[in-house]
Amino acid sequence: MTPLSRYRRHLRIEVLLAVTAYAVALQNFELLFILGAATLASGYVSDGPRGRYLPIWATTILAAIFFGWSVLSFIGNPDSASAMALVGRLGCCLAVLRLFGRRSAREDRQVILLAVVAVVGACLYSFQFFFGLVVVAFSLHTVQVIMLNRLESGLDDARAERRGLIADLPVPPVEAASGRSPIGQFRGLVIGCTVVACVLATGVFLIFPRKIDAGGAALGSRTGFTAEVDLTRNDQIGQSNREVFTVEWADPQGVPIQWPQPLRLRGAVLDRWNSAERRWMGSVGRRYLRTVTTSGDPDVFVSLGAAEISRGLYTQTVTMRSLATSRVFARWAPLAIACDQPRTFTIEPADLELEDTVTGELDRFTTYRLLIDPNPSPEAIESIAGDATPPVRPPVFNVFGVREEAERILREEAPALLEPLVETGDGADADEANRWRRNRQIAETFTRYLRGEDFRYTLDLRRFVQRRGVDPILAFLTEYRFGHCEYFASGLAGLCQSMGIECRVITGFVAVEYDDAIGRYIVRESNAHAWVEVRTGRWSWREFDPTSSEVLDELQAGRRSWADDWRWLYDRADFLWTSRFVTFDGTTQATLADRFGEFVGSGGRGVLEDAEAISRKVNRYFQLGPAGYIWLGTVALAMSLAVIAVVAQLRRRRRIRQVLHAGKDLPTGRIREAAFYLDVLDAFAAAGCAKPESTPPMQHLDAVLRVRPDVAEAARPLVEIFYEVRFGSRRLDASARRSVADSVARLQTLAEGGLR
Amino acid sequence: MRYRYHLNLAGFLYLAVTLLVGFAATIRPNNLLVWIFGLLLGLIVLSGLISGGALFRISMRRLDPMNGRVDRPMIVRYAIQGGSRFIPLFDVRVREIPSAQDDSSDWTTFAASAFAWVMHAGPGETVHAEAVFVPRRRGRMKFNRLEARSSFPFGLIGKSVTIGTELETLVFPRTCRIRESAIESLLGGGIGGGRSGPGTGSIGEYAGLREYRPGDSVRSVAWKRVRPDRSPVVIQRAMPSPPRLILVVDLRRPTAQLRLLAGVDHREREEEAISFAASIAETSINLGVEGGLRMAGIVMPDLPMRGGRRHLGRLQAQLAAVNLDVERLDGKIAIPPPNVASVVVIHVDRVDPTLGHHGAWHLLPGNLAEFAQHPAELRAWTTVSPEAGGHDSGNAGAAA
Repeated sequence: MTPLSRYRRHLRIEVLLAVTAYAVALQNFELLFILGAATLASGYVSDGPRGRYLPIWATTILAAIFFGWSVLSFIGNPDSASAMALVGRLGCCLAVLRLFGRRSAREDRQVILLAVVAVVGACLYSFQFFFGLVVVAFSLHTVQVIMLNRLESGLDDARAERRGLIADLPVPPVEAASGRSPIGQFRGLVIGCTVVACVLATGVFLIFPRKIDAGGAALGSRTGFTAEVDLTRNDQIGQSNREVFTVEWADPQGVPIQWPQPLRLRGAVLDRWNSAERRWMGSVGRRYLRTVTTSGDPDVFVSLGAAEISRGLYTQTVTMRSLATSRVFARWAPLAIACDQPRTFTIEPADLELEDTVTGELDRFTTYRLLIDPNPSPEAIESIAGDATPPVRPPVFNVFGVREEAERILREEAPALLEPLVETGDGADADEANRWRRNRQIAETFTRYLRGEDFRYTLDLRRFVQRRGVDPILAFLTEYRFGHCEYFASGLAGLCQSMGIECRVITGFVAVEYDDAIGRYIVRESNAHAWVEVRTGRWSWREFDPTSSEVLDELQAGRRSWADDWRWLYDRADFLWTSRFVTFDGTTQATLADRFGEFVGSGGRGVLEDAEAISRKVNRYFQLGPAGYIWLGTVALAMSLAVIAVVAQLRRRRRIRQVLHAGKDLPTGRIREAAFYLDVLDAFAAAGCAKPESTPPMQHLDAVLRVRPDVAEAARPLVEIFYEVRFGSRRLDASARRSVADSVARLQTLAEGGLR
Repeated sequence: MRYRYHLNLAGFLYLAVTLLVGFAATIRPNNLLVWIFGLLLGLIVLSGLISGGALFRISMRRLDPMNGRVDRPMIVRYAIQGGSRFIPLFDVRVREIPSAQDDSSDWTTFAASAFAWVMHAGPGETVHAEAVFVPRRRGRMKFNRLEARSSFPFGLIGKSVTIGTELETLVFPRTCRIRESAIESLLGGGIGGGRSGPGTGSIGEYAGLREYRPGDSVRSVAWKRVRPDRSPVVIQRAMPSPPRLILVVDLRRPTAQLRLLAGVDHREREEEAISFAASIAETSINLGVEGGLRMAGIVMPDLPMRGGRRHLGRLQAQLAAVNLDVERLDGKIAIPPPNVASVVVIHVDRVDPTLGHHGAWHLLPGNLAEFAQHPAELRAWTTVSPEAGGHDSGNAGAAA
């Protein structure tokens, strides 16, 4: 066996990893199945014993077809953003095609290059943890494949040179070096190179100049939360059961409870429809932003503006799992906040939107707590709002046809609500109350209408054709009447705003999955949701969800699979990936540099404090409670003992090899059987007659016989067995091993007795 | 010992790809691209470190190939030992470096470049590798410097180490197999046969008895024939005496003064004469003939008539060492009489019967086609071909 024996297999793995990375990044799993199967088949067809290769003309034609396919795809959709995706797809196809051709090391280099192009192209389209995992695996595997390719190239060149000599001359053939030594040393070099390359890459990663807060661009996900509602996409939305965070909802006594209704956690508030860009946007200019800073203790709450915080409040504890975001998800209405890190949050008093400032910190928070009043008094909201009192003004919704549709609905469902509001004469407050009541009734009517049989909830929007000049909200309401929650929420908000009712679209998560074992809600990416808040009072807003909750429950129930049982592990890794890697930006870089400077400046005095903080953080992360420190200590002790045991075992094995003068060709099993001889030598040393290295065992036994005949007599059978094992290829069975162990113990007793 | 770094084409391409990825990582906030960019940079650094570390303090030794032969593979072996204590050698190519001086005996004038490939050598381990040269001409072939080059592990940056170690080896002339009947014709059939040797040793066939002489070995005494009243007799034994052949290469006329037809390369014709002599010597000695060599016109020691492979090697080495650029002399050479050995004189341009006795054979290079066992093989030779035989002189053939 030579280091090159598995070269072809590694090359196929390389291509397979590239295709996998591309498919994961572009969510193109049909390509993965086709090209992956072809890659595996090449192992039998081309690299197998029969060695069938595609002729050059066939390879050329297929390559031209793939190239033409890519060009036509680009012409059909001349989007510069998708150009690299096409290049990556072409790279994947050509790399797989190359596997079926007759090739040398030079052609194999082309395969590697094409695979690298495909992966680099895919990097522009995904930030997922799994994709990153595949890319890292691909990168590290590439190191090995390139090294193997260099060896193969050398072998090819040497053989080609011999072939170039005069024909029919007896020339010695060139063969690859075989045996344990080259394979072992090659593997060692591969591992060493990989580790050093990773270290260097991480160093470059840390010092590479970046933009400030550039990582925020990577936070969004197609299957998770986004801080906007974009109705231009008409593809099929994927479903992901990835855990985003967990929520503990505790009553005023601190007991975790399950809320009777789905727990809607607000993330972003959007109140302005941009018909040109076809998306809901936040208010222009947040003039009343206020900041609060937490202490880092999750039990110390900081008021968000309320004058006084009563004790009868619910507590919402959010522990992040995979989503590294600056957004705070809270149920209406948060009055105070605490966080496991000293952070600064901004609050928009008008709509109680909370966000982390993400400035100058290396880590993102993992846990934050909120004191919630589900039914806040107007005074409480007013005290939070302060100067940011929301004006009572009719919203503007300039989409032709929506108001007509709204009036049609009201005419059919509740014609009384179309009547102009008559002043009662009981005063302005009574008139205002009537107006709020009528607004609520209109919103209820629209909600009831959207939940009717005419509308269908679906995630597949491929039939929802976006046409120029036709607003998607109007198309949803009047023509298609199917869509997902964003369409339903947009439809309701559009209908209400067209009727002059103040309302806003809320994006966030709806928590419906309650785990009784841990007393927490599990919030997954598929729980991302959009609903509507309608103003029903000067200081009150009411939630309206036009998406049928039954449909959501059905979809939620059908998505569980066995793989979800392991999500707790994957999601934690995913969270670390997103929070530490994907969002690493210039700010984090500066913070890291500051910390390093502080560490160097303080001479490492803060190491102990850092270790303590890390242990506290780990304990909190795994939610182990006070007993967690004991558990962590036990784990650390067990790991230390394991390391000591492994080191001791390795040192003993090395000493045995030295004593036996055994090379690497001697199997480990044989060495283990002869290990008792070390104890015999130790016994000799204990008896005061240590064996010189140059003296053969039997000869030394004669010398011991003159000094300690009892020890020599006891050692003689052991030395004889050692000779048989070391030089006579004798194998010791279990009983013989036990007998030897007893003899060694007896010898040691005798030897130690001699010392006394 | 000289260390050098090389950036090859693959390295330039790799550098270009690295810069492109770096550019993409700069304009687009993608940390995965940044990490890949770092990995690519790291591999460049590693490539230089590993190849440099592996070749650091490398020791190379060229093993003497003893000799080569024109148009035959000459295997030059090298002993290579890695100097690093930790980093093994992988994918090392050892090649000869041409001499910086304009030396006509440099190996580049003999053969095309070749390299020896070492796939693996552990730290401190010595391995042997071999390069195969195919010399195109005869003479003293000089090797000057050795270079070990490796671009392992990634082929981006190569490192080379050059070591000066001189060696001179002989390239024997090109030969072809001569027909046995032609050799028999040259020998004439009467020169060989059994002859009683002067000694009375115990080796050889029984030849007769003779009276004891002082100095005879006791073991050679024929004790059964001993009479008390007579002196002892000893057994006389005979050694078989193989046929003998003296080759004379006539190089008295300077190259420029050879009388050849226009368009014929004079130096080539001299080389063919030498190859003809080497072919006759090789075939005849392999057939058991004792051969000797005389060089006419060039000062070289005469080789006595001997048989065996070692003597054949000496004879070919003498022919290989002939320097045709030296001054030619017109001196007499000692030719044994006809009853001692057959004499074959090989001339370059025209037969000169004055060289050798009346029974000598006089041949020209063009006669090789008639003597060759496989004349078709001669087509690969540059000028000698079956069609070219005897084109320049009508005097070719036996002068006897």
